[in-house]
Amino acid sequence: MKYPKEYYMDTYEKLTFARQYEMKVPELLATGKLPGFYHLAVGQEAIQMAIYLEKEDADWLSPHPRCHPLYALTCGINDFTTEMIGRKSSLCGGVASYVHIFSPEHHICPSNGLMGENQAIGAGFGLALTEFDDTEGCLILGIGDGTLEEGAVNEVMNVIASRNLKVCMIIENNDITISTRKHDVSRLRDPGERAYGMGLPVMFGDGNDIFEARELIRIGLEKARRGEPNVISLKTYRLRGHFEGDPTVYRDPAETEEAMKHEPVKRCREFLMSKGIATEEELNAIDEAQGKIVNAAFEQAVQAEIPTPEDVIGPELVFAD
Amino acid sequence: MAEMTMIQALNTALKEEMERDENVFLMGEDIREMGSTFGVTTGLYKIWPDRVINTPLAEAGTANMCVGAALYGKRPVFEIMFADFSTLIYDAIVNQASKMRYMSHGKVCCPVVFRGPQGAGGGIGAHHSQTVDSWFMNAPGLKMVEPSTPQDAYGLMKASIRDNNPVLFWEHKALYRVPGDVQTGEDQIVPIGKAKVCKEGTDITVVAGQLMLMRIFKLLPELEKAGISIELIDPRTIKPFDYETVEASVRKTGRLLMVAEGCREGNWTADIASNIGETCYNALKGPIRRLGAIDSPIPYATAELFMIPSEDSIAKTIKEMVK
Repeated sequence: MKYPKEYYMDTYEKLTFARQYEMKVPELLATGKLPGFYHLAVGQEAIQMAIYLEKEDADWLSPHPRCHPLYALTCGINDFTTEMIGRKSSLCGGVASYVHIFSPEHHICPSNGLMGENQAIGAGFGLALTEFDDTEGCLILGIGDGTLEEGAVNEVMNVIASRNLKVCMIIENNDITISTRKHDVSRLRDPGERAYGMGLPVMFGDGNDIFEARELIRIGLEKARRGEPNVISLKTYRLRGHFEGDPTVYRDPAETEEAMKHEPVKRCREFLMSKGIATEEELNAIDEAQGKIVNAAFEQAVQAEIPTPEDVIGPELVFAD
Repeated sequence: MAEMTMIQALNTALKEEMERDENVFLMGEDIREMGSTFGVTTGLYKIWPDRVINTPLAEAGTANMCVGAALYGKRPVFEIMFADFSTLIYDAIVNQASKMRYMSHGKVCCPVVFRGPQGAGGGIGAHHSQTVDSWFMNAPGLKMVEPSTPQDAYGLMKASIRDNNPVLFWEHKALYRVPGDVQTGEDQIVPIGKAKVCKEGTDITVVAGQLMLMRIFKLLPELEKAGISIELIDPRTIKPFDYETVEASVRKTGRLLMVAEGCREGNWTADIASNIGETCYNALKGPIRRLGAIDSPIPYATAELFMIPSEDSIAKTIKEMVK
């Protein structure tokens, strides 16, 4: 074993939390208990959990919106869940959900409905913390392969590189932009190759192997904190539609079935058991404990107060003094 | 008291605010050695080499970086070389900076200033001569100011940098080099949202700023000679508009003309006119009228002057209204 057992068990715990958190959404949508519109990251959880496990308190995080479990762990599971479904939370009062969430006290940069804008705004945090602050932390800039084509993203990648901003950009490459395949809209073999044109170093890895993802992200964040901006491109697969309810007519179900064989939770379990690090019973016990946390979070969230007009309308909410 | 051009007044205000608050920094194209296209940032990089940042030609990305830096606790002033190019940073303004306070449920503020020159006067065509203020009227969460004099440019810039909200600061390139007396100091800060009554009168209220205001100043002797007493108001702030000052004036004169340099169709003056039509209906002696540019792109060179309200058309309209 390269690491102590707790390292592996903690990693699995976060991964199973993320999977169960995501899968709770379609379950509740089916019962009609859940309002809203959800973009799940089922199949891609390893990358965001690797980020969660490797980031330090001083770091700032500007993830892409398809990151519910990462937001939940960073901002507080119950509070985030309440916010996510548009109920009154201590985060953004239920007006933001995951698409517009911003929580400076948790070092979470603004999320965004406009692809590319959270990366561009995030880069501004990178500028401020590098050039106007003496923090130890760096900016973790999450992005999907689709958003990488936005103009503003390429503009700020260039600025990050030219000013040596303390930024690690982590590309979550699921090879699909809603329904459009990467090879139909890009000549790059891997989106991470974009880094070459920006003068940024890049590492490539398997984003469905959470242990590999953790190691690459650890290296990337250490470099970023030293003022060496860098890119990591991690390959993964989106097992569900772009949004819940998307019938995925653009994709052969056989492809998804094949991808299920390589999904990160299954792979992590197989690895831990085959190496003798954990037994199936131990892993099942972790699943059960995390499932309870997820259930409790959603239960309290659906019972939380719905914002009233007084809660969401007011000049003081639009303008600062 | 010193005589300054608007460029010098803006430069002075930026310098004083950078001295006062180390969180203030400047970002834009060619704002260091070159001192920006019109010279507004001249010399500031020498005093604060780390706080005057030249950007690549990448407006959308770098304007959003200013939004991010503002949310981090800094007070960025972003220069857009020409206001016409503000479309390249439109999202940063109307979807990002303006919504951050609301989306955080009132927890954070986003103190960023986007500044640049608008208006005709340079003869530099359809992408360098527009008056763009009306493009931003339909987005909540923004403030927007337009100084007409060096003194107001000084006072409004200081207020804008200190404001905790995103502020659009539109200068006018035809007025950049017009000199005026400027008094500096804390008591010269011009509050955002406060119009200025430039001249009192009894027959008609005329609201106009920047180049249009200068045109009306030129017309005053002729109109006074014709027996028309004009109350002339420079709005200075477009958002939030100072209804109180204009309504008080309209209740006195019974007539309102608004002159804007931007295209008349969809101009911000329509919104103000509609609201004042409701609040001052009983005081009005005739319809509120508006002048603006022809609904057309602006041609190159001197032909641009055919497009925006001329002194003649303004004088004719005032005479028709008071007749």
